[in-house]
Amino acid sequence: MEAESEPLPLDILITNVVCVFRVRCHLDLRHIALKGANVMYKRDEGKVVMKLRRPRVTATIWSSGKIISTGATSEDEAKIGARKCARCLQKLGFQVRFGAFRVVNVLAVCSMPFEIRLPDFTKQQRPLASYEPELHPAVNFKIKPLTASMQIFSTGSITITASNVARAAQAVEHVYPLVFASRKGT
Amino acid sequence: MDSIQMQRTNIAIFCKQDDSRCISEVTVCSQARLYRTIIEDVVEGCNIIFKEEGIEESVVLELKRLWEIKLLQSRTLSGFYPNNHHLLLQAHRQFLQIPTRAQMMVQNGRNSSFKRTSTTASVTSTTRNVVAPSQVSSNMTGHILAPYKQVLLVHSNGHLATLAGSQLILGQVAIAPGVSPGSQTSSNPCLHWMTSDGFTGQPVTLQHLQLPQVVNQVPNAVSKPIEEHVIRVEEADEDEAPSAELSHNEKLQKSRMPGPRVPQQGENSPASGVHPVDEQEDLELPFFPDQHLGLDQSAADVLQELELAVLGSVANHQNTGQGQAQPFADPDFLDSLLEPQLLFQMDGFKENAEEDIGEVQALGSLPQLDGVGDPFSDNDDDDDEEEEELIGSSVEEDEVRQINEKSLMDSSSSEDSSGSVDDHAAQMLEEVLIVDEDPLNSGDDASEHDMSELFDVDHVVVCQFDKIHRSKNRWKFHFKDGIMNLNGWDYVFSKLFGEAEW
Repeated sequence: MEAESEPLPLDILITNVVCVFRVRCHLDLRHIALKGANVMYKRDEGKVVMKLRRPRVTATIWSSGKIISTGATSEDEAKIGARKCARCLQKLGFQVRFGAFRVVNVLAVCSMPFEIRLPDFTKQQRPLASYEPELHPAVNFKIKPLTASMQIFSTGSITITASNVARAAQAVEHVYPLVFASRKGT
Repeated sequence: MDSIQMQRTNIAIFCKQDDSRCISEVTVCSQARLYRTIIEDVVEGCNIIFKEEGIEESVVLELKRLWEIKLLQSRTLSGFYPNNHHLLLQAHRQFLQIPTRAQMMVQNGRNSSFKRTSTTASVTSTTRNVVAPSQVSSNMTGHILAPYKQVLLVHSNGHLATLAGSQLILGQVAIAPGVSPGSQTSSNPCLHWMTSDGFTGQPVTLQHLQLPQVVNQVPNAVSKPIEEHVIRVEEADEDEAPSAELSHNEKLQKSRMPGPRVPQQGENSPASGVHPVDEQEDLELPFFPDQHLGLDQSAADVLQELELAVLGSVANHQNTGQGQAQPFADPDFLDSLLEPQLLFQMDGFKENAEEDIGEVQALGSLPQLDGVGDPFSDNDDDDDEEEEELIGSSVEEDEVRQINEKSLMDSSSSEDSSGSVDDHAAQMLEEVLIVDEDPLNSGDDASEHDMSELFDVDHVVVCQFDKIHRSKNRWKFHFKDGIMNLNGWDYVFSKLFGEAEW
């Protein structure tokens, strides 16, 4: 075993940041749908989907004024996108106040430089890892205190879902030695 | 869409939006027939409505004629009418003449304006709502027609002006020689020709007008009703009533007044509810027989100039401080002028006009349906204890934050009031802290959402959809029964499949 087992050079790519925020006022979805640009009105579900281009972000808007924004690749971008969306609503005439911005979910992807023996890994991480190869080819590994969960594939790529970017990074660091122990190779 | 179906030939068109290429296999397009049937349908419908309203049929006929003329001129169809010349001439006779300079100015605006709008629809809108109260002084004592009307003002001193919105100006023409330009003002109701460098504050005075030519060309132009109309048109400041008459969709009327005052000899028939147009059965050039008005343009220019002036100015119009002109810059609005209902709405509007005599800002008293003061945005659920209505200004934001923090200090339960349980309270507190961040400003602008830019396109498709599908940012369209205007030419289709990337 190598003495150095810290995942320092590992690249964690954030693929998605989901956040919620409020505009603190009721919104007329029909008005947004008619006058807004780049919007889709899902009347049956009672929401309007607004897509932005530059932070490539999709915002789902409810009439209560609560908005979910997805698709950003970083927390800052998520915030910028959220503010742009709120700004669009403001331009449509609503008295919006940007508030209660909160990152809810972060999806990141990380690739280990080695392959992993999943059954072995699962045995060692019994309660935290669950592996059902017939259902899904990856091990589902939960880190409860971090509220992070990961999917570990035998190719060495790991998909992390955490409540924010920092925790995602911590989760990777946490799991690296464990995965390293069950690697294929030596 | 019966007429379309009748004319329909199967056109398979594969097109992409935006950076797209269009491959169209247009077989035979009988657009001319299509348009004709459309016109006839509309005219029929209008006839019925007009009859109910008590308006004479001649109005409809005239409108129809105008429509055809515009269509012809827009050149979106080739060979729309076999007897082009005849119609053109006829059209020209209907309009008073504008000097050349105006014409040229107007021509510039033409392309953009015509391209943008769907042909048949918008074509009619130009001349329809032109009325002409006249005015001498800058105070528009005359009758500002209802907002949203494009008004051609003929000043009593012979200046031709168009009022459309407070500052929408097309051009100003001194028709009568000898009338000093200084006498008119560059006020709002004046018609200013838009130069290529933009807004001209100074009206352009055109000197050589030889109206007798016009008179000769229109031998039977003299008719009392026409005079009435013209006079009404002229003397806005002498007679308060006429805004009613003026506020109808009349043809373009320009009368030429040599002198500063035209006697309003009680020929102003009240005719409030009656379209003056119907008095003019022949659509002849109105004028004053005993006065000499000179124009050195051939009648051929009139039609183009006028309506292009209107449209062109709209296209070129710069928004001035007064926001009234904005409607005219809006292509959607122009199209909406089309609708026959508007003819009757004009009556409703005239009250406004009359009240605000002399006030160009009258147009500002329009009820605003959306925007800052709109009824849509209900008051937010005020999470904040103390303030009532936050308008989202930065000052208030700061106040809110301070208040929020104060409330935290007090550690009283926050406004949401459901937080009596500890973990709830904690959550609330956290929320309260987070709530209301910096006010949104232009730094948050998503400039791509500029609506006015978005609709500045060269091609327009009006159709119905069968299915629209999207995957990520790839869109697929299944359309049916549509009319398109591509590169200025009209097409018709029964089915259209398209793909696009957003």
